[in-house]
Amino acid sequence: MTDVAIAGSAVVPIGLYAQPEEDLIMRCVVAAAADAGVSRSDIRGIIAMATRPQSVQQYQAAHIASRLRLDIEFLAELEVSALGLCSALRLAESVIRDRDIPAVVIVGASRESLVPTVDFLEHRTSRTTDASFVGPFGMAPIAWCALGARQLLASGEATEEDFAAVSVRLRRNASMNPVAYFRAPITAEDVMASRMVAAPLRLLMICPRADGAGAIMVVRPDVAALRPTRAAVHLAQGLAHDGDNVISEQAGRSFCELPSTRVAAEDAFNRAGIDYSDVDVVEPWVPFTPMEIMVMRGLGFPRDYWTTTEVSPSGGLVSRGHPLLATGFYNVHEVIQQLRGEAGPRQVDAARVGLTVSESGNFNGCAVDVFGRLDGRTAN
Amino acid sequence: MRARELQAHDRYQRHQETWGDGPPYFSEGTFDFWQNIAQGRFTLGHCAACDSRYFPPRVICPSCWSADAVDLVDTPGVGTVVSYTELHTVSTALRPIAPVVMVCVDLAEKVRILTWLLGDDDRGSIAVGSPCRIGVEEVLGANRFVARLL
Ligand SMILES: [Zn+2]
Repeated sequence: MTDVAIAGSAVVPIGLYAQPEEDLIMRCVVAAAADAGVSRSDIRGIIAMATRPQSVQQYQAAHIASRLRLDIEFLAELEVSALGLCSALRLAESVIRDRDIPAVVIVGASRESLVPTVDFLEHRTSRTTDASFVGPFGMAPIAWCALGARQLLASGEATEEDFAAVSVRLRRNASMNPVAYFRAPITAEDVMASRMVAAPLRLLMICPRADGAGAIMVVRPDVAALRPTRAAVHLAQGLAHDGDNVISEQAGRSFCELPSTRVAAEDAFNRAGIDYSDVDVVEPWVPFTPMEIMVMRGLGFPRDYWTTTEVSPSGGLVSRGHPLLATGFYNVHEVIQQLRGEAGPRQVDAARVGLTVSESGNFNGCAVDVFGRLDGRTAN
Repeated sequence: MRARELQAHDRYQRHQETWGDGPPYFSEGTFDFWQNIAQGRFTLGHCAACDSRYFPPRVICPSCWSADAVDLVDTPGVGTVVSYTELHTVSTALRPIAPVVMVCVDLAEKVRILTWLLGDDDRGSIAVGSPCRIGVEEVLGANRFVARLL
């Protein structure tokens, strides 16, 4: 099989950085180029996740291209939060085909540590839902997840102990991931004893707001063909949206069923010609542990999905950390390491197909991206 | 359109006099709603063209796309709690009333309202499905639409 492929990926360890975004991004671009085996002159396009308002340097795509003396003919900046990287992958693929260029690099960085959480709540999240009718009441991602988690508990679909078990599993995974932020193992007792933040969500069920950066090198089929065991093909992208912006206007809609996830999964699986049993690893965009249960069941995996499918071997957003606009890079990076068989102690046996699952709003929008190896084989 | 914009300019200034720089922020479609709230009256959007009820009000009816057909109507405000959470970490603006109980309420009119539950005694007895009523009360120095359990 020959197709446009992701030949290289690089991230920095998630943490709290004094280095500005440009430092982190430049390091990632150079590392991703080495990982892909492409030279500077191969990189004819750059797509950046638009910088966060707290960042000093804006127009990061042009800035990085200049700093690294890239010879580009295509440049774009995108921000649709979690869906930004999904759109960037599709854009990079089409630009490579349309313009017949060897490589496009996608970059993103986020330094959440620059903004205290109370300011984040006041100035950003209060205006991402309806800024007059919803936001002023304290609406934020953690609040809408809590509303969904409450419905899971009330309907008997899950217990607080189920939420804690997800936290424990994610931390165990993160303990084996050198780029994860929280790596010390925890117990269910630790989770249940941690302080209540947005009932029923406790502190150890919640992602840390942290800093990170990543770069992904998308290449032309002939470039990818030079590295058939290391290049990953983006087999399909499933997309869906339920029409709401977090809080539905219509009575009767569920906070925990997330119908867009199922539609996006079926769309992706139909396009890729695969089924649930083909999926070896999933890296979902899940900032709070109850949401993993909602998303995995919503996608159509079994109620006890963790017994059959490896979910967030990287530790996920809750333990790996959540640098907002860079998180997608870490999800893709983990899937690529797994498909190559280079995930070390986290390696999933015979990985052949990996998914990333991304959201906008309260999974009002969902993208399911399917990745496989260029050679179609399994890792190991 | 020019006459409409002249009216909007006048209303924007009146909105600022009542609500400052917001929130709530000015819109032609919600100006009367917020003036009603300031006077202690909670209303729903109603379309004069197609008779549908919706919330929040807006300049275009979400059902039939009629423009400027909003006709605000009173409501008993009776509904049920769809979900709720108690927020312990809040923005600076909400700190004086933290922890706040956020509730999502479905009204009998089939519209959904997101607000706070007031009443310290009710914090322990709230459940998914609790009957409640939306009304207007003063919180943090301004009139707001809020929920109380029935
Ligand atoms: Zn209408």
